[in-house]
Amino acid sequence: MTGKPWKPGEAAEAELVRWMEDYGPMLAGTCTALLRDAHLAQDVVQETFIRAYQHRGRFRGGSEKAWLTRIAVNLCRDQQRSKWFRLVDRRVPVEELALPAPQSGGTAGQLYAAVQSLPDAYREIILLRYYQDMSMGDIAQALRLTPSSGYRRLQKARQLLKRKLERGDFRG
Amino acid sequence: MDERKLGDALKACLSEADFPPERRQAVLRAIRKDENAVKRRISIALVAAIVMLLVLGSAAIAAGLGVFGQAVNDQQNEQSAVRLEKLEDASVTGNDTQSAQAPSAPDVSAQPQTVHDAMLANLYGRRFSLTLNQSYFDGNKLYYAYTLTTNAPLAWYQGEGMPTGFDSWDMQEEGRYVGHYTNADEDAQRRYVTFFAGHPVGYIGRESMCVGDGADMDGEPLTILDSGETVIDSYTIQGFQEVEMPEGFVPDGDIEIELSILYGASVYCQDEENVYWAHVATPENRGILRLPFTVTLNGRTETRTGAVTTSAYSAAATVRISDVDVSGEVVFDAPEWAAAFMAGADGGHPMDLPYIGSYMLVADGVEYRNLDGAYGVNADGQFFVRIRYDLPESCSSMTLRPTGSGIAYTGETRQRESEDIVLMR
Repeated sequence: MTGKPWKPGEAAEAELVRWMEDYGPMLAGTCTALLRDAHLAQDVVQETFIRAYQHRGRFRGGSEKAWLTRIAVNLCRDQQRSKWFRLVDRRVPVEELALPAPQSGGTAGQLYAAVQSLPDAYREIILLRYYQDMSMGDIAQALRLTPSSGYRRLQKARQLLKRKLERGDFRG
Repeated sequence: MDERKLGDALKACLSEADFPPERRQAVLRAIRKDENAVKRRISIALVAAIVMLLVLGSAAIAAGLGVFGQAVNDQQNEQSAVRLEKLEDASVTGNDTQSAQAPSAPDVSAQPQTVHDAMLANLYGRRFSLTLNQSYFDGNKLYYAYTLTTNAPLAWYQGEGMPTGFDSWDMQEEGRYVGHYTNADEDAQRRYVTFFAGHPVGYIGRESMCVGDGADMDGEPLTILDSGETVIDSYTIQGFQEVEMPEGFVPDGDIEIELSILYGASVYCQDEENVYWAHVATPENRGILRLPFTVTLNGRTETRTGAVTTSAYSAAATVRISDVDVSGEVVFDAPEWAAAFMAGADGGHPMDLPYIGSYMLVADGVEYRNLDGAYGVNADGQFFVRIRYDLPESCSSMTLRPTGSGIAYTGETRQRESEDIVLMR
């Protein structure tokens, strides 16, 4: 086994604090975009760190970011499976988000809205690749995919996104 | 599409995302509380765990478990373990095997001249067998366990220098492989790292196969709720999936589904500056094979209903008891709850009136926690709560007990109303 040793007590807690500092904002952004709900996203990120701490002995090395992202994505999926979640349109209007500088505002807002209009599986992979800048290997680890199926999913996501942008088939 | 622009747009639009200090403190409080609870339990729990491990270890080997049963012991399936145990008993063992073959090479006499063509040639004509080992279908949900095998070991490729025949790369990143990539398959990851440690400029790749997410029915994908997959050896993988029937689906005996096999090869390589990755698939079918299966309606479900009327609301519950779990929903005649929920969902603020968000199940005196926990407003505009419980030991009497109250009690002397829902056959 190549994993890090299980850390008891204070050492483990210090590591948890570091995880929250290093990855908290990034996970919050990812979960916000996946769930389209900033408050729910905070709950999920909080639960992500609790579970990561509880199961830290199972982290077998590799990318911490991918491991934490995997927990967070799974928790987001649990939320998304809920019937009420599917019934309520949770797309966050672009004007409610932190918008970029005015000179690039329109394009950025349109791109974000188009990503938000993608089906869940494709939104996930686009966010991991282009928001988190994760490598394909880490994406495969986070989404529990083989690199081949991860690649196929990313290709499909990019095609869908391109089509949506061309057709304006999304709501900003 | 400009990928850099896409990344910049996402980062700009999510730039205010943060995990604030009060949330971090909440995490620390939660784990400290949990730690204390663990310490109190540890002595008894440790003894019990050792005994259970000894018993379960020998029992698992002796019992000749099916795929569902074996999946219980995979730590990746921890959250599904209770359902998988039930499925091992409740599912029907069909072992229906369907075979498929990748397309044949356009020119079988041509000798591959490049690494790319050699990888592609090995994919052409590869045979696969997909066995639906066990299934459980109760009309609402379908669970199936499968074994996917191929006729020859999934190949590995490696060599010095850059692999020939690749005109473009699907991914390209600056730096070395080590420190860049990790992979879900740890054995493969170790092999990649070892290889690149000794080959500053080189390539390593392998073939892979898997079952695609979720079955299709009538050409439409069924929503996948859960899945797990385990590599058995270089020819074989096993796994399970849980899918949900579409809303309004009426079960009527057997159903026809379609499962997909995804196969292909991928290669990592590095030179002095970059790491590259490419995927190779047979272009005729983009590396996808589809196989039909018939699944029998073999699940037993019993429906129980109940209702309650209070001074603030009335509610009607419907639950289905299957061989795997208890699930259903409670629908409320409480228009103000529905209105408050919709207002909260739009504005992102919580409901500010008493309402019921979850129920505990009391079955023959034993309490079961709600595993679903979803609530909201249905297509008819009614507030509802979704419920799902582990299957109780016995279900002679069943009562849903709200975890809060939906009544606003303003005076201390006012008599409390019962909000329990007794479920009847």
